[in-house]
Amino acid sequence: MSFTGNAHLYAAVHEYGANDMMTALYNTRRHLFDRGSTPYVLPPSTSMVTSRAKIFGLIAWHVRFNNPRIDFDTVIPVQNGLPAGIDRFAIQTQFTFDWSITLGGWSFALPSVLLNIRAIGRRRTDTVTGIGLKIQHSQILTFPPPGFILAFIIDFVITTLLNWFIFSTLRFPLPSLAAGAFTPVVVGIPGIDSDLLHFQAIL
Amino acid sequence: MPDITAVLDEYAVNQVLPAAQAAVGTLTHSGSMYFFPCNYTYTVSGSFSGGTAYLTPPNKVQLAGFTLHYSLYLLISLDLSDIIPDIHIPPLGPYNIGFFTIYIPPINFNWPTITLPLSYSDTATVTTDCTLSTSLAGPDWHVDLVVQSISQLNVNQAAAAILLLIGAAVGPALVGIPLIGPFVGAAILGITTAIGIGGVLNLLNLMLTPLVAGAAFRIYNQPQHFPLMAVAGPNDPTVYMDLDLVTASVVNLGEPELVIYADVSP
Repeated sequence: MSFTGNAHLYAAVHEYGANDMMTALYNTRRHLFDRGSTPYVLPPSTSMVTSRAKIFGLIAWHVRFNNPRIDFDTVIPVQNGLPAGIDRFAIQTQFTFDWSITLGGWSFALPSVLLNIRAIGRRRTDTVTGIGLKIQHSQILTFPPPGFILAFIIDFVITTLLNWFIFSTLRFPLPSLAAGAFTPVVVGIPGIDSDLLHFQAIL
Repeated sequence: MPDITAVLDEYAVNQVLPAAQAAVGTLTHSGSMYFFPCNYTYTVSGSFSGGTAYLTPPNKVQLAGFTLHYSLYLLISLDLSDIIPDIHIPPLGPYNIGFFTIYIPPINFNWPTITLPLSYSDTATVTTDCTLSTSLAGPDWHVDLVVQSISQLNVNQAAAAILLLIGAAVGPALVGIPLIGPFVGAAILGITTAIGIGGVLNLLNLMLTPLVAGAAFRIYNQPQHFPLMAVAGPNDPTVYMDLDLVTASVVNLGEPELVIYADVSP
C-alpha cells in the first residue's frame, strides 16, 4: 500500500524526531516545563522562566516537568486502567513540586514531591500550525496512589498541568516541513502507530 | 528509522514542478564550433515551463514534453573561398608583337571571409531523464532533479527556419565584394547547401543540449537551521532545530512516490 493513498502527500515524524523537537522546545522555552513563584523563580525571568504569583500570597511554589520523552506506539501498556489502543501516545516525565509557606517573616519549607509520571493522550489536528497532541490521563509510576479518589485527583491535576504547560502550544509542523512552499490540507485524522505520528494531505 | 518522512505522489511532484522550473530562471550558454564550411560563435539563453513528471524507482524522474523557450545569437564566419573557387590566372607571355613585348601578369584573387549575424527565438519540446540529488549548499538543504540525459529535443522546424535566415543573410553580406556579381546566386546556394538542414540540426542540438543538461530543478528546499515554532511572545522565542541529513528516493508501493527522509537534532 502506498504512503499517500488517495491523498497527494504523506508526512510522518518518528518518536525519535518528536523527542528531538521536545528537547528543542525544552531548551528554548523552559517556562513551558518549569513554572513557579518567588523565591524558587526570581524576577526578572531567569533561564526563560517567568516568576508567578504565590498562592494566596503565602504559598511559594515550583512545578517542573523534567526530560519529557514521547512514545508513539500502537499498543501502549495498560496500567491502572489507563486507556490504550491505536492512535494514542505516551509521555514519560519526572514531575517535581516544591513549596513553602511564608508567615510573619518565617518561611516553612514543606516536603518536596518527586514523581515519575506516565501520561497517555491522543492527537488533535491543527492544519495551520501543525499537528498537536493532548494528554487524556496520567498516572504515577513511582508508587501506586493510595486509593481511587487520590488517583483520580492526581490524574486530573497532572493531566491539566501537562496540557496547560506543554501541549497547549506544542505543534509538530509536519505540513510545512513536508510540503515546503505549499500549504497542504490534512485529510482524515492523523494517526499514531509503529512509533510514528503521521498524516496524509492534499495539495 | 528517519526522524521525519515526507512523501509526494506524482500529482504532488507535478504541482511542485512549475515553481521549480521558474526558480531555475534563464540559463545562458556560450561557445564556438566549426562545421565545414563555417565557424559558429553563439550565445544561447533559455527557460523552462510545462511538461509532466513521471517517477521511476529507485532514483529516476522523467520530465516529459516540457517547453524550452530559447533565444540564440549566432555569428557565422565563412571563408567564401571554401564555396567559390579562388581566381588564379597564370601569367601570360611574353609575347613579341613587332616592337612590343606583351606580358600579362598573373591574377590571383582570394575570396574574403564574410560574417553573418543572426538572431533567433523559438521554443522546443524536450524530454529528459533526471536523477534525484540531495545536497547541503550553504545554509539550505536541497532536493534537486538533475538532468542526466535528453531523450527528446525537437528542433526540426527551427532548423528549417534558421537555414532560411542564413540564406537571406548571405546576399547583404556579399555586397561590396569585388567580382562577386556573377557568383551571388551560386554563393547563396553553395552556402545553404554546404550547411544543410542536417548541419543546422546538429548545430542546434550542440547549442541547446548544454543549456538543458545543466539544469537542476529544485523541488524541496529547507534551511539546515530551521524554525520549528515561530516566535510567540517575549518569553517564547523561535524554536530552532537542525536538519542533519536529507535523502530522497523513488519507491513504488502501489504507486510511484517520491520519498524524502530527514534526520533532525535540537
